[in-house]
Amino acid sequence: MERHACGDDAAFAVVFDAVAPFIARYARRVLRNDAAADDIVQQTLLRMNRARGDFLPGAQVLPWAYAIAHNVLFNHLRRRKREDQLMRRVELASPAAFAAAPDEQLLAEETQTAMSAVFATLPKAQRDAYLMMRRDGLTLAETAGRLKTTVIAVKLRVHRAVARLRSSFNEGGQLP
Amino acid sequence: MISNDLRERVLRRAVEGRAPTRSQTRRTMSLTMLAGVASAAAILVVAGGLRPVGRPTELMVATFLLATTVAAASSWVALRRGASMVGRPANVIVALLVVAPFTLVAGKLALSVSWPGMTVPWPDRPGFRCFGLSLALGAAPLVAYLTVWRQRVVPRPGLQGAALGVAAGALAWTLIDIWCPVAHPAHLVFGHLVPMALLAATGAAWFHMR
Repeated sequence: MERHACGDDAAFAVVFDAVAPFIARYARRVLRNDAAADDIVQQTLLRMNRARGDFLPGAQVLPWAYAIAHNVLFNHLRRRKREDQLMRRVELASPAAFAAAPDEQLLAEETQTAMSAVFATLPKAQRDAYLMMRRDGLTLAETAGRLKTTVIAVKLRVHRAVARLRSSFNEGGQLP
Repeated sequence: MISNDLRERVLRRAVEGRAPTRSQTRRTMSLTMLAGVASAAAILVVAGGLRPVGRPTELMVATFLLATTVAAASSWVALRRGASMVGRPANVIVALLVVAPFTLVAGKLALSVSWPGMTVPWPDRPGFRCFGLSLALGAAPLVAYLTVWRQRVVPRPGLQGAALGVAAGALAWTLIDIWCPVAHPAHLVFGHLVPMALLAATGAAWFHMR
């Protein structure tokens, strides 16, 4: 890094080889997604490159790289959370948006309002499991991986969420 | 395992967007900070510059030296990162936030009481002009300090921003000390200390929002 800071562009390859595996392992552990982890590695290393002129002589590289990776990861997770919230809102609003006739639209809006209210009362763990499986189409194993829990726990959460929604809408009815 | 594709992509983009070297970065930072301090000095000159009236010259020199020492130490702690790329430990920064303002106020009062009548209230100088001028003097250095720090990794953004604000505030205190002869405690707190606190809050808020 010292040589790179002084203007030796070729030295960045050495920095990359020394740092990237650690950052990749860290990002994969947090995200459990290879493509997203690669993106974190890329952003982290490019930020290190941009800040090379500010590198302190004799400073340790790896803690600095981890600190940058931590910030990049935090921003990534925050952005993903915002996107998830937006998706949820779009999904909950869609029945009303696509209903054709006025009476169907009214029914859809009423259903949406009622469903949103019931959905909001579900525990977060059940909501997340339900959305990942029903909306995102994830498998049981994938959902369990994302939520850092077991397949059985996911099954239980989704079952409880479905039961709660079903009982709130109609006795023997269909889920919207 | 890192794929060759990722490696090549990152190395290619690093070459395409060639980053400034250490010497280039240092030159830019030095010029930025110099511009900040020079702007503050220019504002002071416009406001009247050195005003050796209403107090003995020895007292003015003594308080100026004290303020200069505190401002230099504050800038050293706030602007430099020690040996670590992620900045100074939190306890060092907290110590700066407490010790610098306290030393400036206590030191100014302690030196002023040694001369008779130097801490009496000035009814026509409640501190509004000093308040405004302190903010104006501290703003330019604060912008320069934040510019220098904007790309750095900051694990404790609020604390670091506040430290930069205190450093800018201490510099403003030093400059206004040669302009304002009043050393009454209420005037010092409102006209000199509160602007420093506002600069610290601005620095902290800026780091949180970026």
